[in-house]
Amino acid sequence: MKAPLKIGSLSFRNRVLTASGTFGMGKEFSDFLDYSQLGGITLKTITKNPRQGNPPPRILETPYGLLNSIGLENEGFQKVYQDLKKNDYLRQYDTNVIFSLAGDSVEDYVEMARFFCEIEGIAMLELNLSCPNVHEGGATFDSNPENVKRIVEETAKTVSKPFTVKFSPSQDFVKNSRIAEYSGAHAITISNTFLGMAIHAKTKTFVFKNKTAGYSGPAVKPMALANVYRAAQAVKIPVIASGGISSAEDASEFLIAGASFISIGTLNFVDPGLAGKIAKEIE
Amino acid sequence: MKYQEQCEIVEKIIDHSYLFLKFRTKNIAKNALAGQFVNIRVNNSFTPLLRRPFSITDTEGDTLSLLILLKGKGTEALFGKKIGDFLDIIGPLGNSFPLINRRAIFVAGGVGIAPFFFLSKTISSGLLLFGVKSKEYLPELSAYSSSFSEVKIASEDGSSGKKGTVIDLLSEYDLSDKVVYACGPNPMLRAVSKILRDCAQVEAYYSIETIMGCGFGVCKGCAVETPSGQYKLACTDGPIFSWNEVKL
Ligand SMILES: Cc1cc2nc3c(=O)[nH]c(=O)nc-3n(C[C@H](O)[C@H](O)[C@H](O)COP(=O)(O)OP(=O)(O)OC[C@H]3O[C@@H](n4cnc5c(N)ncnc54)[C@H](O)[C@@H]3O)c2cc1C
Ligand SMILES: Cc1cc2nc3c(=O)[nH]c(=O)nc-3n(C[C@H](O)[C@H](O)[C@H](O)COP(=O)(O)O)c2cc1C
Repeated sequence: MKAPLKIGSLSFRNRVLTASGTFGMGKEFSDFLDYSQLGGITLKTITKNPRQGNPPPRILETPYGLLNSIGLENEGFQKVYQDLKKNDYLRQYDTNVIFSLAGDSVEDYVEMARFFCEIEGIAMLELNLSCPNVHEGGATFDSNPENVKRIVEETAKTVSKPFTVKFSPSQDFVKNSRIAEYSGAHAITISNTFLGMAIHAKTKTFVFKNKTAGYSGPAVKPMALANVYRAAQAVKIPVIASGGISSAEDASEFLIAGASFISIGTLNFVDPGLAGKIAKEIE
Repeated sequence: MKYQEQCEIVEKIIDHSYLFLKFRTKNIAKNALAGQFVNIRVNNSFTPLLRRPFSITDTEGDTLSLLILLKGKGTEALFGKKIGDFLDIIGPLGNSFPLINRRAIFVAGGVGIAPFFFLSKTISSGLLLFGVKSKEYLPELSAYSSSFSEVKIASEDGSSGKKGTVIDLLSEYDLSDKVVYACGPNPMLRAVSKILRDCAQVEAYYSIETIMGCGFGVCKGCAVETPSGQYKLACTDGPIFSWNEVKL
């Protein structure tokens, strides 16, 4: 049984997408990849206010994995929206452009979703709920099911384009997925990075200023596979898999686990042409 | 334009603590400018996972040369490669050295010499000041095509050239109306800045090294702080920065 190649009313060429924060704002891979080979590309999460990101070091390689503490460096909603209004370069890409966003409050999500839906080059939205809510002491939005319900309900009422909701693996994503489904989400993305940490034993210091960091890459694949399986058992809307996918074989495993789409993250850094190769292989 | 290519190793020399590799490329070498770098996938497996960045040491037609100092697992894997092996390389990446119409002084610390062979072919008649720990860290300079007007060497243990550091060499020159290009460890660059602060009308550019993820502006992992507390990316805003543009 094959899942339909659709999210909401939006059709996809194939099941291969790229993951947010690993594909820039779309332009950066144009020398390496023919985007028309892909089902879609997801852009870097844009936040309500500009963020300059965390101090270095921001990344650390681990065996088969990557820790990152980038701090959502981005130019902020106003600037990105105005620039796209002036020049919607996303329209030129022959693939579904998925625009990822995160607010500082429930209202921010809805407002940003409404504005970005106006941009013709954007085919679909991703609500990144796995980012800290400054009004709740920095806990992620998805740590509170009430937030998930309100953000998804309000967004579903407001916007005309399909959207996915991206969860953190550290929260109750199964429950959150069910809430997202009945509140009107068209898909869920399982998941963002895992919680990780690195310490210098010699100097007894934390590697990252924020102490914890996001963990991704091939090392997380077995955990992501289990999470995707659990979420896919819980909902009927499409599940977009994210976590450690590095080959067509990995992609197939996630599809067997119940995902309808798979997204390539960290591996875009390792092999910028990979998403295209995987798309060709799993055809 | 950036390229991802499978490049064949056509020459390999182990020279003291350095590895010299020459690759045949399709487009990378032809499009490279002095100061730019490439990001190499050293193994097809995930050990190590990330690519490793290296300055372009020279190009000749479609060949690309790199000078690599043995450091950890990534560079160790490169030392084990053989002529005829193919490596996945992306490049040319980053900005290039600005060409300034002044007498040039190249200040290199250790493997920081790497970009200057290439640069000396564009800015000929520059003076090279080269500091190494000891003669084991001194590559066979005559093996590389370059056109420095003069070369001065300092080694910390005195086993080659003057006993001391490259900073001792640099402090003997009046830098006003010169252009200084420097590449080396951060402590060396900080020492260069200390000298520059006392000179009027000096122009200077550093090629800097950071931990790097993708190499083309996507992961934002190679941030460097500016004096105003903002961040720039070593891979796309750099790796060449004006000396007072970034905090080291
Ligand atoms: C723009 C640029 C140009 C460079 N040019 C050269 C060159 O021409 N020749 C040369 O020998 N080296 C060069 N380096 C440094 C080189 O990339 C590192 O020595 C190399 O990545 C170390 O890898 P490793 O696996 O052997 O060491 P490990 O210590 O095992 O590496 C672990 C991690 O730290 C990073 N890392 C460690 N040391 C450095 C460092 N000094 N700079 C940046 N990242 C580091 C690695 O990329 C990796 O992510 C350059 C770096 C940059 C950013
Ligand atoms: C450097 C880096 C930056 C990321 N930035 C974002 C982001 O801005 N928004 C987001 O939703 N996920 C972000 N992620 C998470 C990825 O989209 C992906 O969900 C996660 O890395 C797991 O997949 P992977 O193992 O294939 O990388 C980032 C991941 C990395 C490594």
